[in-house]
Amino acid sequence: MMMNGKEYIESLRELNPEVYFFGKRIKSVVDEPMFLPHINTAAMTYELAHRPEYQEIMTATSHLNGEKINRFTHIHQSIDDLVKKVRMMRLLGQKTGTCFQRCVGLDGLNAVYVTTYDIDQKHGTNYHERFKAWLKEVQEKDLMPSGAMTDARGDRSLRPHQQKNKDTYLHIKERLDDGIIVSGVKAHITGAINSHEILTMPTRTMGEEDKDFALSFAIPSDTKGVTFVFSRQTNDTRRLDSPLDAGNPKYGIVGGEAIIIFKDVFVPWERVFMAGEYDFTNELVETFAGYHRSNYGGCKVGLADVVIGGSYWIADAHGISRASHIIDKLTEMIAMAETCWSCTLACSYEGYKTPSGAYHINPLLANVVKLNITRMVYEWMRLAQDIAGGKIITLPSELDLENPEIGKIIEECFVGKEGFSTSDIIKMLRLIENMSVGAGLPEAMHGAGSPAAQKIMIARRGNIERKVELAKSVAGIKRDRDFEKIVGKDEETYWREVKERIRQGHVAEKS
Amino acid sequence: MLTIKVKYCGGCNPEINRVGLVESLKEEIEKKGLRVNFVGQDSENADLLLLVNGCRHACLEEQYLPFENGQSVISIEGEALNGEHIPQEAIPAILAEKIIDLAQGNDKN
Repeated sequence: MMMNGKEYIESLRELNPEVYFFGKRIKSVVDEPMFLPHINTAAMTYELAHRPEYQEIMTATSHLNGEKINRFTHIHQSIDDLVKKVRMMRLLGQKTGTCFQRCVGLDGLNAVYVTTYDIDQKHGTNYHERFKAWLKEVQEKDLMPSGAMTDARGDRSLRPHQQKNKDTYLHIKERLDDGIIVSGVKAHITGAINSHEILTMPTRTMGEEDKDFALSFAIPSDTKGVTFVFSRQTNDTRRLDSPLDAGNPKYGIVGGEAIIIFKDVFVPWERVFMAGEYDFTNELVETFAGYHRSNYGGCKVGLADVVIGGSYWIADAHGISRASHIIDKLTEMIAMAETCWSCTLACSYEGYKTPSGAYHINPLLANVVKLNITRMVYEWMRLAQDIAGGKIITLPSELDLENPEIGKIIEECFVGKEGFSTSDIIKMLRLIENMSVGAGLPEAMHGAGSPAAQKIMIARRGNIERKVELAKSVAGIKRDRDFEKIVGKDEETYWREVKERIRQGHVAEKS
Repeated sequence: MLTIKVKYCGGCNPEINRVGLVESLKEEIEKKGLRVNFVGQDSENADLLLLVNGCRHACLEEQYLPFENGQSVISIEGEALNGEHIPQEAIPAILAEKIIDLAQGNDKN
């Protein structure tokens, strides 16, 4: 049964995860003001699935039981599904202006689905059926799993088994008849504290000696031995000061990341999807990264839509919306955003069917999407700051605005064109500050992998050899059969004749 | 004699040399002593349709899989067969085996 936004929030009350923030144990995730904006954003992924005007994108038909499900629990069954996935990302970015967290789990579901099928084909294991049984539960209960991939990683020049502290990577400590005991630390896991389940995946390609680190499983978030430490973000405590100061008080800033500590956690075999198959770690990591990197041309473009709208509104409020330099900047922002959107659509349309039956995006284009995002988000946010002006970093607090002695004077300072209230102008400036100054920028840089990771994939899949052949053909170094068909003779004869004609022409001119 | 109809995708950005691969396939089949007549995409009759897609997206599969008028179909998907990654240089030998199996009526697929 698909939950709506309220039902999702209430469903979190049934869990009792061990969460820490500011050095204190948080008793109720749902009632903690620091967490609420992130929970509201995730709730949007549930709420829109119930709205007729969004259902075509937000829902899908389960290939497991034919039921209507939230698309965030769906395994992509076609190119159309891949396209609708990124349309969903843009829509949710537009609706919240921030990270809605649930795509990580979605990409984890699809990546593990694809990889477990391939592991079973090679090793005769039954991970895929186990995974499908858990997936069915996720779909039927409309659960939100966090996708826990990145390990703490320790000394990055060392492989996992070489680490002095083995807990820098999540690993198997013991294999039992009924399951495994695991320990280790996952870092900056989006939406972790407000997810029902944790789906773990290895963070990198593993060798044979790392096989205890080649690990994937799913457990409920409040499993014994699991502890979350919620991360800080720029200006995060402003939401405790006043809604206006927070910038985007309803939905927050980036995804609400957390460290997840696993201390001697028992995982029953039916929830283990990889346990030592190091030869499939590369496939799982690359498949997940491909899905996830393709999303960024959807969600971040949705955020761009919001910040472009906000920038125009502020320019209008300031009476400069028709100034040529403002129009030029807004046009640049739109062009960059739509370039990223085009890339992510192409990446979906160029997808393909995997042996598991699930569809995968084009990995080269997915990495290009993400690499563009690491640059262009900074650029369109820079332009937003440019248009909004210095006020976004010098505004007084909401409490000063409410002060009877000085509030009125401050309000008059920030008045704009007739028809725009000071309070609305400040709200919009705070939103632009939130989106363009804070944690959203490095999130665009490092989320789904840093630029170097994308460049490795692009170099690997760029097919330079073929490009060399193309250049050699056009330059005349390599035989060009198409050209020979056009001119009706081999190239050597053709150019000999051309040279002869040139020589005769020159001789005729001179004589 | 087995007749194979070869249909190429449009070749917008292939990751393989499609024509070269078919030429290598012909050589492999010849080496194995099977007589095969390769015909163009406009030919009416064939025992087997060979789809030569330049990349994993495999545009031709949308149009022709699983069967065209009851014909058997083999699809090259860039550097992959049936979704499994196979380097370009290994594809002709694998395909030749598959085609011989088909000709002998013992294809497992």
